[in-house]
Amino acid sequence: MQAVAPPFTKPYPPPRDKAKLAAYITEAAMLEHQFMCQYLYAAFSLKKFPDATCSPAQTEAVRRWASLIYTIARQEMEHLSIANSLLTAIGSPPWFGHTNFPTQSRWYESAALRLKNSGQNAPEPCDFPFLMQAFDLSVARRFCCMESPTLQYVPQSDKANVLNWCYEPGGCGCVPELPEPLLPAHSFVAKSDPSANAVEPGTVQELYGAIASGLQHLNAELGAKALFSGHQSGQSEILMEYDIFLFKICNLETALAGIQLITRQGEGIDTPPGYDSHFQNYYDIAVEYEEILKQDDKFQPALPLPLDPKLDQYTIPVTHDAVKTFNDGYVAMLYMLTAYYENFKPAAYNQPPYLLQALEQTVFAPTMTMLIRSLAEVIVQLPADESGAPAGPVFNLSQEVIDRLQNPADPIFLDINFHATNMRSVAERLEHLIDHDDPPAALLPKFQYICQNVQRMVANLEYIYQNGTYPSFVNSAPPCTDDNSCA
Amino acid sequence: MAYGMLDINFEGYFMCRLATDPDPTNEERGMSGYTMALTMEDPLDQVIRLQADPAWLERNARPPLLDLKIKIGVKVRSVLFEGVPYEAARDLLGAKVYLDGADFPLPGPTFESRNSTVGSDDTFAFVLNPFNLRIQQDDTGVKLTASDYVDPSDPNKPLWKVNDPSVYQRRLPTCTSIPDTEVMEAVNVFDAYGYFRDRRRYLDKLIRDTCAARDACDAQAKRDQLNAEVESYKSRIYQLEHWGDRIINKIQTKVGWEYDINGPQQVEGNLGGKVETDQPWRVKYWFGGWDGDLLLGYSRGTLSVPFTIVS
Repeated sequence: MQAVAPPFTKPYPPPRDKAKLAAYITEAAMLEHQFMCQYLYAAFSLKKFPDATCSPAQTEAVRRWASLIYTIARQEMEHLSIANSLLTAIGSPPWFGHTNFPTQSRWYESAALRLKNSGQNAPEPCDFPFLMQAFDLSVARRFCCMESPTLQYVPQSDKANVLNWCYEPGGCGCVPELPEPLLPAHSFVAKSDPSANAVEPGTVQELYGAIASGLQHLNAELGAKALFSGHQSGQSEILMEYDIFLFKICNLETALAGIQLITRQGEGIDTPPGYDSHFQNYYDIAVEYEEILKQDDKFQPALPLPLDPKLDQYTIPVTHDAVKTFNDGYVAMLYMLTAYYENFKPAAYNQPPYLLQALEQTVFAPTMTMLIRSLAEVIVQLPADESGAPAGPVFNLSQEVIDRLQNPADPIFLDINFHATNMRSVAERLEHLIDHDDPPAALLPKFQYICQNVQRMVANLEYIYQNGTYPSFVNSAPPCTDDNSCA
Repeated sequence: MAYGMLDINFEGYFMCRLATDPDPTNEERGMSGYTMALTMEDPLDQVIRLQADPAWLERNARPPLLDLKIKIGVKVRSVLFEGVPYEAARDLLGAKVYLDGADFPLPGPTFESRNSTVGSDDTFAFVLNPFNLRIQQDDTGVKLTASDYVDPSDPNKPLWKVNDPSVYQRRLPTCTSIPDTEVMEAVNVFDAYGYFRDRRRYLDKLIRDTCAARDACDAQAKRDQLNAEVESYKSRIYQLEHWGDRIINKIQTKVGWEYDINGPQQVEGNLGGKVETDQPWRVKYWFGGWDGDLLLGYSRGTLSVPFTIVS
């Protein structure tokens, strides 16, 4: 995949004031968050072990897909982080909310484009709804379309498939039949700029183009000091060996570098030949999937998780409680992220009480990996109903949660007890589930392990708040003495 | 009568079917980290195996492990009294070294961090948990056992419940080196990049050979098995290429631990003198030379016990 940076050509104007710039970046943050949730749901559904419809050989291919999809999901988290670092750098509040699933993002609907393309004989793109959907071929194609650059920048060798998968002439086979039309997602941009509704695959690259243009314009117009009047975030402390690349954002150069990283990783904009962008990865997965299906039409790489599950749809107690606990943990995580990004100040980081360190050491690897992913992968092994079909986790934000996330300056985010109580509630729910819901024997150790870890996270929040991060967890031990040295 | 320290030196290859970040630390398959269980192998279980029985090895030794003439097993290599080889303790030579017990709910001892929940993956701040050391020579009946408690004030308290890490600081690593000359010598890998370049070339050859064998085979079950092998080689190449330096630099990494053992200590058999069991034994060891493709590494260490030679 090779594409060059496109000129900014959309009819809607790039932001020319800070409020509008913040709206664009907030919109980008929400989109990245929504991509992440969809990719995670699909990854959770992938089979880990062979069965009647996934041979040992096929399971190896599925494992490689899982690795790629989890990598892409992590990079969407990176993009979410960069978007929020851009927001805090210009003095705007971070945004970790999103419209609930299923929803139709304005950036992925085609209606307005038909008007724009009228008389030009241009292909009509499909609507790409944002869904919680188990992985299958249509999902691989839909994800590819969502990550695609605009058609003119798709490599010639890939164009036929992209036209077939992402545009009307192909019948929009990458989109499942939905029981009813979806409500449009909330848009921070459309409120002030209705023309932003005009979209097609690849438009998000242009959203970032607009943000870059706005940053450059306002940097020249207002000056760097007035534009970057906020604070850098602390998210750059994460090691770069996990396919996540973060750096401090504090001026025009670092802001544009962040945007360039996002569009390179996503659509493959301005990248060398062979670059494994998200678009290219999903494209390659879809092509390999087609090849396997040609040889074995019974191939099913994923568990049949429900489409767009709702929080209250599960009636089996262990499933109901596990999904509710997952959602509570997800919300607790978003509150911690909001508190961390809103309040990070380099000077405050090392000042007691160590709220920022407590949040940083808890919310990333421990919560994301040992609670969110771990519990989701247990939930997909639980029955959704009496039929025994598997359940799926829910990323649901109530209006109360949205309201709170929209007000990161609320002093409650500075209260360690607020965060500890949220996590303690998750631990207590897990304890209740283990003691009263009779989880399947094979899953009991997994529930116990998650519960232990969440209990420790609560303790860590309180310990680090008072004492700071334990030194041995920040600094490696000194070099070993070489016992075989020639000294 | 002479009183001094008897140093029991041990070393050898260990195996650990270890999940790696960003997989959860109890991940059984390996979906997003650089380590994985292939479909024909046992699931990942995180257990540090200083010994491996033949049946287990048959299921979990990947090529070219057996061709490398690597023998899995940490054993006693020498016994010194006050720095001098001590012949009277010859019954210990070749004794196998074990780590016993389990890090519940995991089925054996582990490098415990729980993805930076009780330690830190980023700084190799792992606790070998539990630490129940056993050195045993079946042929001679010599056996030493020693257990260390994370929190001696509450021996049954699991690590995850010890909220203050300073309580178990003594069980965290005392040193970390990348690259480390002693490790390079121990595993005989001086060119880390070349080592894994060779591995990728070897796996490519295995794919070609296995595809040829599959194409020449009529039996469907055998073809299916060979297909699975081909895909497993592809997965291994994928991991090596996807993670690159993260895998490569571990082959020359050393992480060391050292502490006085604070729990019960016992001795059986003839060591040519009297081992004091009411004074703490000191253990110093390192793990390193980690081959994240073959899921094995090297360990070397010394158990120092107060010792009296009675003439």
